[in-house]
Amino acid sequence: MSKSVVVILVSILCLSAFLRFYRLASLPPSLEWDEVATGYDAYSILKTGKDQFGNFFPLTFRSIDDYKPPLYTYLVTVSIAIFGWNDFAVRFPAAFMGVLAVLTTYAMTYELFRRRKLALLSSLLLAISPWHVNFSRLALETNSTIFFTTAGIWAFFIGLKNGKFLILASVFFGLNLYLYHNARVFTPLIGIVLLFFYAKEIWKHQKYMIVSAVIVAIFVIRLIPIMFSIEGQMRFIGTSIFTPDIPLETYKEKQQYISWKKDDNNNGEELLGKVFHSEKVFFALKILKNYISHYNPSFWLFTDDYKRHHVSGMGLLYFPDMPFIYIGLFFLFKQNHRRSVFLLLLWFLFAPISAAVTRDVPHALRSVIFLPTFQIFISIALIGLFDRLKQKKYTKIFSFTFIIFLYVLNNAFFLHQYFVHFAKDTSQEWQYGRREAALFADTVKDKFDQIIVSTKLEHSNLFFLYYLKYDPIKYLQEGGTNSGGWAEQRNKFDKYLFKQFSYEEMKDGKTLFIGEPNEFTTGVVPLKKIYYLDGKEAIWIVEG
Amino acid sequence: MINNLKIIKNKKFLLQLVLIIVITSLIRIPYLGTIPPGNVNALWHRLPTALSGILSIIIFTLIIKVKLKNNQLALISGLMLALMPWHIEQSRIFSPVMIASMVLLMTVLLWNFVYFKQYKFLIAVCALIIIYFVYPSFWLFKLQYTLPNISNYLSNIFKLTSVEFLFYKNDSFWLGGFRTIGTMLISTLPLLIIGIYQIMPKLNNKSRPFIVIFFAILLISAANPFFPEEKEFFLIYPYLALLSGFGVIKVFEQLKSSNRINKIVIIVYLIVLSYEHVWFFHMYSIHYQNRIKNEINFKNINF
Repeated sequence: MSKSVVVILVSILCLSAFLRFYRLASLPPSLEWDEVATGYDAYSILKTGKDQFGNFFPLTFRSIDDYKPPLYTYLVTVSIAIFGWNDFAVRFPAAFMGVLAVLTTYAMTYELFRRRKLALLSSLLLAISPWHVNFSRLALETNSTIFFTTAGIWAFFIGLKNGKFLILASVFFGLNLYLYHNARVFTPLIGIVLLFFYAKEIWKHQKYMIVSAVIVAIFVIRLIPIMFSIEGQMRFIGTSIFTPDIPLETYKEKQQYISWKKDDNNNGEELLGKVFHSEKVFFALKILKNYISHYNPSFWLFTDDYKRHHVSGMGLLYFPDMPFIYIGLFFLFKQNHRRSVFLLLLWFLFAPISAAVTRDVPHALRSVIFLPTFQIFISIALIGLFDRLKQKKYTKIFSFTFIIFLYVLNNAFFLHQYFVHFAKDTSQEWQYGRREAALFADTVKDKFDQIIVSTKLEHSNLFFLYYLKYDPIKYLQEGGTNSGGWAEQRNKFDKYLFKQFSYEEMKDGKTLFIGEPNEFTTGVVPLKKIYYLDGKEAIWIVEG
Repeated sequence: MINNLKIIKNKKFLLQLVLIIVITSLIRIPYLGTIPPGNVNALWHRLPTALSGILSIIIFTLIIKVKLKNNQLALISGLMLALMPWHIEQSRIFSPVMIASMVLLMTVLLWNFVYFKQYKFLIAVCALIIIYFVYPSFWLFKLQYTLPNISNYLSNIFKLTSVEFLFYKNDSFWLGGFRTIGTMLISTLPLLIIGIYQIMPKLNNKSRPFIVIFFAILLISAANPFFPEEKEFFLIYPYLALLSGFGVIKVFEQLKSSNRINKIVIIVYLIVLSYEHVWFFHMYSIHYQNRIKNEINFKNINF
């Protein structure tokens, strides 16, 4: 690798680090429920070896009843041990993995196509990707899967030349299985493709191949009971389209199928009803529709996904990305490395498979493993286009300048929206105000016998535990978290009770109530009002 | 003036074209007055459109044959058009845009047989006049309209090119329309993708007018003040049919030449493709008309 490549790569890494670490603790404006749950579990593990429920070094964290895979929480444990218990430490592993993913994207792309320019451009585009930057700044496990996947594939390719690296690849892939639910579908698929495409080369390193297989087997064997346990399936049950608790739109579509089947039965055409309108046909078509929805340009550029998944005014990709993705796909087939081409294409096709069986699709978070395929496609397009302009010097200079201008403009817009407006636009989505409520309640708690916090402030117990830095040893001695969940009424610690309340019936002059403004009767004067950043009322704290 | 009239001399081609016409007619003519449900005059009201639909497929097939000099591609693309849900839906209602599309295709075909530019110009002017009379609701013919702002305009463009619109929910014709499916069946998406991939290297300067026309249709459709209730985008159907035709040919080539696993994959795909087409005809002939009967006072609407 030449000096200039090293300098460029280091510059890209510095840029990606800046975009991921700058104001990391304060932007997004507050930790949301997954993040505080992870933060408290991580600190609890550090202090007691147990999570908030008292489970000793669990391989599945019950968390907010979504039974998270464990790796990210353990990474946060290390981070808290280094940086202390604070928001920065909780988000640090995600941001760090985000920067590493930029590096491994460079390394992987180079191994795939043996072109430095392509690898550098891909990593640069990932470094500035709105999709990747935003999710790298959240203490969620999903983004880190990009690092483990790209690192795994890079190590695999190096391993084809130097067998030892196959062991490293198997470790990366194995760990990925313990990182995020979607990786449990995606990683085996990519693994099978790699084995199928490169079987001959792997066979040359039989010794390392056996060791790698044993490592993968250990990861998989330990995972199987988790996958088939009720804990392992809770997340699937909670988010899949097969549960009775389906969204209204899906329910209506299902009812439509049922009515068609009834019509056919009434017409004496039961066979047609079974063949065309059975529940199996409905779900098959629904999954297909969900899957394809992830390839919708509107989703990439505008996105109807959750507001917190993108900045206002743009989606997950930059506007100029769009034509280059199509051109890149076209040029991709002209690349000499056929196996790499198909690997990349299959990656692109596998990415939304697990999200397809879930609700709320298309879903930016559940399909984040699309990255960095887009960036590689765009890079292939740009380099392919400039290669074709070799003879036309002035056209090349003009095109280059124009494209740079477009990207700088779009990137500047994204950064402006993110660092200036994002917090205000989305504070409600981040459960903003729980921190402020907890810290305020702590300053006045001596005046009251008890403090009742409404469970309408979702998972309020975790926010209070986290922000009041309640000692996990003491918390577990008091019983720990009862069951979590949204409607749990039994959680408590210190003077804090977490349950639904009727203010008029329960006020006794010695209680402090914390809840949503609509939980209090008119005429009540709050001790403190907490506002979302857009000025709307978030939380009332009322004496009663 | 006329430089090429060899079309009708190829008997095999002619026979296959007749077969496509029979299939097309069987799909478009029977029960025309009752599916979808209409008033007492529905049959006579819809007949010109149905005939235009049939004619448009014939003309389209001939255009492909003449322009691309590929009989197989022309026939398969024609067949794909004959089976296209959007084309079937529009053929079986009173649809001015269907007649207009037939006139436009006829213009393109005639241009191929005419050498002098002044005759081409004359044909174009005649076509424009005819279209003005058969398709008076075309929004550009109305002098007063409000255009969408740039944000809505972009959004409209993306909607028209989205998977949702093309394959799941064609809401360009709402009241009375078969809106529970898209313009095409989702199983034809791979054919379209393969078709795009096939056609890309073949694009040259001669293709430029057709690319320009495609984008013109897209941009005019997205600017319709009554969006999404617009019909102009229907004019892209020849492009969709051609791409599908390329896709079908490639799939069958692969079926002959590839290994056993690929053959199994292709056969499974062809079964799914066939299943969805049967599903479509079932939906169209049974459930679509039931819905129309239930949800609107359909007898008061001429469609």
